[in-house]
Amino acid sequence: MSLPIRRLRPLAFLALSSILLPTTAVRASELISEIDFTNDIVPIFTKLGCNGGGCHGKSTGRGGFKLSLFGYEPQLDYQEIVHGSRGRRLFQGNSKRSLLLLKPIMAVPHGGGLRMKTSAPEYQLLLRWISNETPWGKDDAPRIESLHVEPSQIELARGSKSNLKVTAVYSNGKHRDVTRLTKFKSNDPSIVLIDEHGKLASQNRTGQAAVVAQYQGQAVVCQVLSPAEKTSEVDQRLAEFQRANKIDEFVIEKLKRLRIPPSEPSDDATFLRRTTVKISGRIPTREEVKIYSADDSKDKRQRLINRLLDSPGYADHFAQKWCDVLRIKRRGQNDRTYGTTAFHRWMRNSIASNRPYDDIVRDIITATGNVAANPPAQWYAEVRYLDRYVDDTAQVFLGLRIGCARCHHHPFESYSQNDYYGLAAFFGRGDRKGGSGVAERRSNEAVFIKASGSVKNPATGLVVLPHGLGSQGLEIPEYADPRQNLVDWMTASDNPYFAKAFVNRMWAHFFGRGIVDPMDDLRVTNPASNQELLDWLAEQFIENRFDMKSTIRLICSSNTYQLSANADQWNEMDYVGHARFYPQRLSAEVLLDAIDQATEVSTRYSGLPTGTRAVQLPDEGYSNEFLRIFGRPPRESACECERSPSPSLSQSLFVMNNSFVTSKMTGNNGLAARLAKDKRPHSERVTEMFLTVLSRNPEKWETDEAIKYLGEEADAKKAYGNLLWALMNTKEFYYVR
Amino acid sequence: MKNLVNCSGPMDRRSFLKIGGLSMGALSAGLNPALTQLIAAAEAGQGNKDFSVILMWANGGPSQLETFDLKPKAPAEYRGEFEPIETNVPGIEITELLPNLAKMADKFSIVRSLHHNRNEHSGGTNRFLSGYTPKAANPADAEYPEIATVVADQLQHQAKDIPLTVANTKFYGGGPAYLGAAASPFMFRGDPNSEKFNVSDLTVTQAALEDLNTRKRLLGRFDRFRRELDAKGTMSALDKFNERAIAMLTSPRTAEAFTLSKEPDELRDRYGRTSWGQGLLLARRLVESGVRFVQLQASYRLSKEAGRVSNWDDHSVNTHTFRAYRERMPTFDVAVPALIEDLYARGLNENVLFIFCGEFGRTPKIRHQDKKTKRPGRDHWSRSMSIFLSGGGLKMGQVVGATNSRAEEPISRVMNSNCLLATLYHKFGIDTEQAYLDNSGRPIPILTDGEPIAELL
Repeated sequence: MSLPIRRLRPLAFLALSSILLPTTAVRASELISEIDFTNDIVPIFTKLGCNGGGCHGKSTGRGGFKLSLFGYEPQLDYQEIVHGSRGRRLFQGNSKRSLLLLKPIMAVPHGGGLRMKTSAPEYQLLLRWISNETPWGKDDAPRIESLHVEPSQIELARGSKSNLKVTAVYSNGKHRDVTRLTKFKSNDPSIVLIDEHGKLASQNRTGQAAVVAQYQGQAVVCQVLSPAEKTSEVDQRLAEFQRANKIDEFVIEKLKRLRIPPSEPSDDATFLRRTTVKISGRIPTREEVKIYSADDSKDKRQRLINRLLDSPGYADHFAQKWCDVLRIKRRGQNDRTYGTTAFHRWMRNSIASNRPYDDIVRDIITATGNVAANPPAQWYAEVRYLDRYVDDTAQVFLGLRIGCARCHHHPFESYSQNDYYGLAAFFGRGDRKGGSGVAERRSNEAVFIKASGSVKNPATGLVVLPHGLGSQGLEIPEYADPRQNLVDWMTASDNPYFAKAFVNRMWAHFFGRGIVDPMDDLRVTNPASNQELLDWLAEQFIENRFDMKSTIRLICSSNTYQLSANADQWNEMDYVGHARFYPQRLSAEVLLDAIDQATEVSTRYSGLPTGTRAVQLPDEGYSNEFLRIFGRPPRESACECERSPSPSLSQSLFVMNNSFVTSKMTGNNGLAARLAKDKRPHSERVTEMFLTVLSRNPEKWETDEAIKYLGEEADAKKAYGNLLWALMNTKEFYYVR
Repeated sequence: MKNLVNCSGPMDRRSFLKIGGLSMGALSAGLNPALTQLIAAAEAGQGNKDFSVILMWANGGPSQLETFDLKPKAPAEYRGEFEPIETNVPGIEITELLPNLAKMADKFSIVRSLHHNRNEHSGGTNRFLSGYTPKAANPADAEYPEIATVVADQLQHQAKDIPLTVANTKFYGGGPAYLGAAASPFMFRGDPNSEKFNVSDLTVTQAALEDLNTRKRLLGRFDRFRRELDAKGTMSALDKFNERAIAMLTSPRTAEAFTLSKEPDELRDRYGRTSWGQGLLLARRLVESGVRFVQLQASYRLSKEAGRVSNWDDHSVNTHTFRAYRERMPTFDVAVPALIEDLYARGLNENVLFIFCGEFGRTPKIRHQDKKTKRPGRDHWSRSMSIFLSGGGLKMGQVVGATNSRAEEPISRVMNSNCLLATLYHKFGIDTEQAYLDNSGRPIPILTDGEPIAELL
């Protein structure tokens, strides 16, 4: 660099000499260059966390000091620091006495605590910048163009160390080592830790993790594999793993590198229950269990998958899943049930007839008219405003959580406000009329498209042309519906999100965890656990013309999906690599239906025919305490995470002591009462109970335990009731495994 | 602790997710991370472990001008029918409808200068009780978690054999939002003043208790699935909650807390044999037994002449506002003074805070929109409201803040209503900088603004 050396004032010179002392000192080239606020100073605030959303980066600032979130607006930050609060943050006469320095070293009280020491290079650089009369830098100074991490993939034996190096490439082609200013984060600190200097330290666990490095709005990822020691037993098991389709190839490749052996295949009874629950949203009946276990044919699993995909349960279960995230909501307005019911039926029929996914999405996003004439228009009853069109479309169909970019540059991605309003602009001509009720609670409106309509970026006040992420703005003729262009962009075979978001959602459905997890949060800084697998599934989905059943068939036919949940010493701690099946809790509706089916006592839902199951409910408005307590989503957001999977004290209390549940188990009707009156020997009755409740035959010890208990209790009805209660409160019942 | 994040420096997404999902120590120990956190927190111990709140909720919005912020010098169309009376603390005046309460102003404080920005019931409720303005108009459920659910989530490690939060009704616009159903208060049904009042979900008969013990024993025999196989830790949590539920059902504490007949008749009479009186007495029993937040929606069925509604939404079309207050307040003036006296007599005033308020105040100018009756009413008014507080170890016997001559807006100690929430969180020892992830993954701090009300501390 040939920039002139600035004449430094004595104080600054003192500071300078102290920088040269530490071993990790600022490189000489930086010392002599003129400091550039954007390139040199802002990254300090990001690295130290000053401009985070909980601190000064909050929209209102903190303690009267406001920085732009993650430093995306350097001009504003410069104004705030140099001129804000009448310049009291800087003390040119004695730079060290500047508030900007005194606060983070806690020389004066600082709500954010100690952020750096005076010996830190960051401190020295800030001090030098203040002493140099706070230069802004040249307007044509080079800007960062890309970020690179070396290595981008690394295998680290457990308990070993390594270093990452992060390089920024600038618009003038120059490279700069920015490791010191980079923010690092390990997505699994139980596998690998990373410190602020980029030092990796693998832990004592086998597995994979990603380290995200962020600098100046750019992010790169280093994949870390921490394999187990080589043993012949593991190698043999890995070699013996049978591959049913390509999914297994991708999974086993990863497991081989980690040296984590897959568990054995699940047994038939487990596979039957697992697959019936996951596809059809119900537990198998006694008869199904008997027939399936008697079936000796080789392709019985494949036939089961096909049978379930063609069963009404599949349509019910997945219609409910989509109605959740599409927010088919009554909101207490009975007038709305026409719309919610019509939408639910439309969705269910679309799934049952296996309409291509892109067609379904197009019908929803481009819906016009009244729900009576066009049920998909119900989506617009709940998703009402410009920002929600964008947020919901992105989260549900593209797997992107883009809402942050409505108000500021997305903190973890490259999306700007302009990108956000580019998506919003597709909806700029949408409007609605008619109907009744107020705001969110309106019913039966008609959606229509105006001749024209545009959307402005509120930050710039300029009209933004509709454009997909990373695409050019579109001039759309008057009277055309720009939403069609949006769907064209989404469903194009080269769209990087649409197909991935779908297959990832399906993967998460069947495995309890997305390849990208959370499933609707695709971004560089949240890397996939198996990128090749995700890409391949998405390609298949596109090639199969968005055939939803084919994706499910592919997943369920894989040996990966069919593995047992049992673990051994090598794969017990695996929860990403799919070396075994991870147990999943039954959802509220499936659980209630399972209770009804197992106890042989059905639940009534007001206004619906007897025998209607919880998975068939069209909207959230059918009040039921059990469903509420067990986490049925109120459909307030586009996220599947709204469905709360967590156990709670209320749930335990409800199951143990609420008559709604206990009367199903111990009442005068139903399985327990029926078996109590039955004249067959206890052993046969116990077998029937196990088949009904747990979809399998009892083990010998289980039969013995049960018979022993039944013999102790004088009152047979009570005895069978208690036994039923116990079986239904096992984890085996609450989970698929 | 769902998706809890701490703000200390860089807002980093992965670490947020970690806390909600898997964390290293917990995993390697084969334990549910949330549970590990709970255990750690329980061992550490923090905040005032006995602080608790009884919130009497005047759903619909009580009028500041008919209760605690009277303006006798305002024009007739503002001041209404009632005169202020002096209390035993010089300078504090309240409505003439509360003569009993007026004798104990040294045991309560009034905050007159809170305001917020949502003027419809459910939106106002969510705004007032969460500190955030919901996006939807008239949302039936909260978009942001109401304070009781945050308290339940934050203090869950302190839960033993009684629920942490109890409510008689889910508020319109209330709820746990992104904290999930597990953070909801335990809801009891029925009128505490009824002979038949009991809480079936929490109490068991002797016979049922024996059954429960049998079932527990049986479950122990059959439930052999290895919970470690669930890396998410929900199986461990399920076992833990089942144990706690059994403890709760088999311990007499909860059942007894709900048994009002354990109180002497004389005391029950003093509270008044009304829903409010017995409800407040029940609330006192609950906080004494370890409940940390009791929410009582203050329904009161008005006569036909007054308007025949049960809420506090005294528009002209609903009620004759003055008649409504004439009917309600005598019951209030028995039940609330009895509770205050009782809290003080037991020394509970140091820890138990009684709050009376609603989602907003009411329009100072009286209107007569009801076509048929032309009766007086007041509409929604979030620009000013009065909050009534007693106990909680706060400074009593004072009025904080003031509104202008017509009670339209605060003119001194103007405070965002979040200051009340900040005061409560402060007393609970809950750090409001902690953030939860909402359903789109954004970190939402418990509060972004509002300072504890210094005069009360």
